[in-house]
Amino acid sequence: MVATFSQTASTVRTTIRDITHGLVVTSSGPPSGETNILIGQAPLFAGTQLPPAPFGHVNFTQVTVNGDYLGYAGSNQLNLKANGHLLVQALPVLANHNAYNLVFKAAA
Amino acid sequence: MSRTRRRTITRGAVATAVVGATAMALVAPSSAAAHHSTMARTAAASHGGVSARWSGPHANTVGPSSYLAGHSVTPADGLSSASATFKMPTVDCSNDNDLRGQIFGLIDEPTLGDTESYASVWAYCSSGALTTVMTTQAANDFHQGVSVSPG
Repeated sequence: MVATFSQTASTVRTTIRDITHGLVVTSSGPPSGETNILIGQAPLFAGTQLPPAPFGHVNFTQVTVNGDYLGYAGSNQLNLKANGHLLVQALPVLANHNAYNLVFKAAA
Repeated sequence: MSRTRRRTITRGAVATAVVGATAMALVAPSSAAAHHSTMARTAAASHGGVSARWSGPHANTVGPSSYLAGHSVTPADGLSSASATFKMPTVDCSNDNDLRGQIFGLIDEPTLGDTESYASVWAYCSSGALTTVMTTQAANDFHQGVSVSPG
């Protein structure tokens, strides 16, 4: 999967591509001044925020923000916790500066 | 402008986004400050009106979040683009009949449930079955594609 985000003065565009099967989904619209981007995971909802499903790990690679490698972008490393328990951990950026691993640690 | 999009699913149903354009009471989690914090991206050395930007890797900060996991970036000069490649992980729904799930990808969600845009794959377990779907949102434009397989 290749996820992309772009924003200009007139348009914000998001795209997810399944390069294995040649599929693509895209949205676009007027920007509202998005200032932050997370490379990782966010919750779904079904009345309330759902706990994460077990997934092993996800290796995010070729990560860039404003054209810079993630390791040069000054990221905040966020770990999902609930009731003091670590559920999903974002590991540090790897030595190549453009990849990191997101690891499932425990069910809520 | 309030644009709240809750990624809502219902048990046994095809993934459906409930778009709520009305303002809702948003809870600002304790991580919001960290999430929004802007890193000091520039270590400027100034001499005689000449400054130099530090071009080395920036140290990360590490903190907890009640709803996000990953690397969050707030560029000091504004956000213009981002990209990432990942393989869809194997999600294990075998031991759980509860609803569980998340989205993977690029996400702009400054506060819980207040998603402004994302390029993602939804993955959730319902009654022991896994559903995955390619999903994007930008402003009011929301689209879902087909399911994806791990790998």
